[in-house]
Amino acid sequence: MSIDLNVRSPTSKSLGSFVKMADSLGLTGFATVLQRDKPFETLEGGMDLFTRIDLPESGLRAVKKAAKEARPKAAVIAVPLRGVDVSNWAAEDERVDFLTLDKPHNECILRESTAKLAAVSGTALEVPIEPLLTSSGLTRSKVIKVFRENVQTAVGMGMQVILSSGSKVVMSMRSPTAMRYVGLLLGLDWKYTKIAVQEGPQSIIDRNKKRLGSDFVAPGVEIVQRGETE
Amino acid sequence: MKSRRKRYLRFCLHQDGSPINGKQLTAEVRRNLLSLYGEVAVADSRLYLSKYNEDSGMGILQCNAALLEKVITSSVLIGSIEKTRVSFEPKKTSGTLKGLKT
Repeated sequence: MSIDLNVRSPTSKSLGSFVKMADSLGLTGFATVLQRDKPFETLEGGMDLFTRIDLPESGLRAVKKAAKEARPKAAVIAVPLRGVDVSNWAAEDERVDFLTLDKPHNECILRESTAKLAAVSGTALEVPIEPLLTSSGLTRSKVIKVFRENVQTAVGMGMQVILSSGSKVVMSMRSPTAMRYVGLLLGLDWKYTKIAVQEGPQSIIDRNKKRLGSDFVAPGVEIVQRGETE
Repeated sequence: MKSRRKRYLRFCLHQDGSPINGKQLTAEVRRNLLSLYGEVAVADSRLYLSKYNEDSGMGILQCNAALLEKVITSSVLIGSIEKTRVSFEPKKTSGTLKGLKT
């Protein structure tokens, strides 16, 4: 069982080719940024599809508002790692699933304090590998630097790291085994790569399925049996 | 002294465009290995494409056991070869060719 939590299929028409590729790579599901009717769905062939929403990069107030609106509609919610205020809020807020390194440059710095907050609330650091596939030479070495430094901070502070493809085109998708080797390049050990590629994404989906269910009240509180009203 | 043991890797090269031949693939793996890990890694890799089917994309790479991890990582990071977008999928590794079949 393996899922990719970041597939950026540009149109609904092209979604079919992503499903086909995911199937041939041995994935059982993926999260798409396209708007779907339900946050969780299973297609005819058995492929699981999840709705992903990336919150805007604007100010804290706008991000908070967007998170409130997005949560019931999305299986996964991501916030780009940028300013301190937004990052710290996202790290602490249980509605947010990831801090994502979508545009890796020198301003994308995960602070130890942010990682510590995220470790407590269960917010993960998402590393989309797409920039590594589309760059080369010195540009790629800069991307690797940003990724490795942030991964090191996250692991050191106990924050979960998740690897995703971030693919805008079908051929940027990678098999789970291939992703694990990219994890090694980013400084993870082989055992941890399995958590980052397979177990971690699955546990986030399972957690959110539970949270969006009708029996969920708050973390640790859920309805086990409904009483009858007269 | 580094180990001279060989390792074999069964892989599938998914392609979107004109087919890639073995020479192009090996050259691109070497180029990526050089870019990521340097000249010493390429020199020690003893990289050789044992089998490759252009149509299916299935093949077997042979390399120095000590460099296997770096060879696979370099191959996975290949985004395109000669304007054809590709996705390299490592399938299985083994110390013998026979081991890849099981």
